[in-house]
Amino acid sequence: MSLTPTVLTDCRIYFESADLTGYSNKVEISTSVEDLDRTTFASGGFKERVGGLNEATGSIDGFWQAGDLGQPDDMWFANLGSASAAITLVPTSGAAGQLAYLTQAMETDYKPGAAVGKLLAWSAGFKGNWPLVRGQIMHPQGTPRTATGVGTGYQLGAVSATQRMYACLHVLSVSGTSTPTITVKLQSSVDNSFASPTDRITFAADTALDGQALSLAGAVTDQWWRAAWTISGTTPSFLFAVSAGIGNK
Amino acid sequence: MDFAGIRAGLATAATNVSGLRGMAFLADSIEPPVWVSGEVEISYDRTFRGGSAGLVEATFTGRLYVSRADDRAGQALLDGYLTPSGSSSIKAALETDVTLGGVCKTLWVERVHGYGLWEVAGTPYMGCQFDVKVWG
Repeated sequence: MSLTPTVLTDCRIYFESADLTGYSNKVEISTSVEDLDRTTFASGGFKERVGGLNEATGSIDGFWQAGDLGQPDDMWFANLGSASAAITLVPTSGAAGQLAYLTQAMETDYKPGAAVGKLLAWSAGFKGNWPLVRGQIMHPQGTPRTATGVGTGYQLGAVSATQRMYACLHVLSVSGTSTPTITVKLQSSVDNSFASPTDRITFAADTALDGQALSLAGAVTDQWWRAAWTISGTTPSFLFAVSAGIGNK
Repeated sequence: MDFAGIRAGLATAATNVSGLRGMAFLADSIEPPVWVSGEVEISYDRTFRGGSAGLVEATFTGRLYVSRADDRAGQALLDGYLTPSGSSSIKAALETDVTLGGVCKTLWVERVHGYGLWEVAGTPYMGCQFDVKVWG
């Protein structure tokens, strides 16, 4: 095997209602387990360890812009201290099926600033209330939806009794009249036909820019999963991203 | 980023200074006093791309030439163009519309260097170089 390097130029960063991709130039995430020492006199002269609490943390750097909740300054101020922010990070293009890291986190800090003559920048940090879940993009941000529909099915796998299915929804653009509304679900099926899909996670209906993070306790024996959406309103159009993955409880 | 459009925009903006000509390319011959939009250094992907292009940061070099037929008058004219503000200020003229009519997102006239004698097509001029940072 030989390395095919990944030059990080087109990753996608969705934080609540904002697609931070075009505003950002650095992203870091970390997942760690507390190292607990359980060494005793009977350990034979060696350290013994056991894993403790799991923690997900991260930080994002970028350039400042304000205007609405789809832009960094508005979104960071609105969510500072919020413990339920939905976060999806995609190392590559953000297309459906791409590997995605997702979590629900608290935004812990936001620091805008720069020296004279430099572009006004910011840095922000977050700490997870979920594990950092390694999942997939179930619906890509770049495909506008104007009517009720379903996405491609992906074999994320069954969810055991010690696991959960985690999912994030990012509603990044809303247009239309007569209260355009979207309700997004995550459905499962025994196979890729989705002949009799089961609604597993249903996000609250959205009429404006929003982010949501929900999870479902196992066990679920279905292997196949997809996003589905119901849209109403007059000439509605939505841009939204959905990520999902299986992680430990 | 429309590099030709930015060169043209800088040349047009420079002519907001009364009596100053503007050229959008490195010409073989010039008629001073004149602004010439010159070389460019480009840094791509200053942000993640998001499906199109990341933020591009470019530093355009603008050259300003004045006649040295009269040394003292030429230098005085050049010094006037270098003020940070006022009607004769090149910096103020270029930063009047920081999008240059929409061809870039913003710009900043950062510094002047190379103040001294310059030669174009065998003719010596008083001149200097401007570094203009442009983002788009």
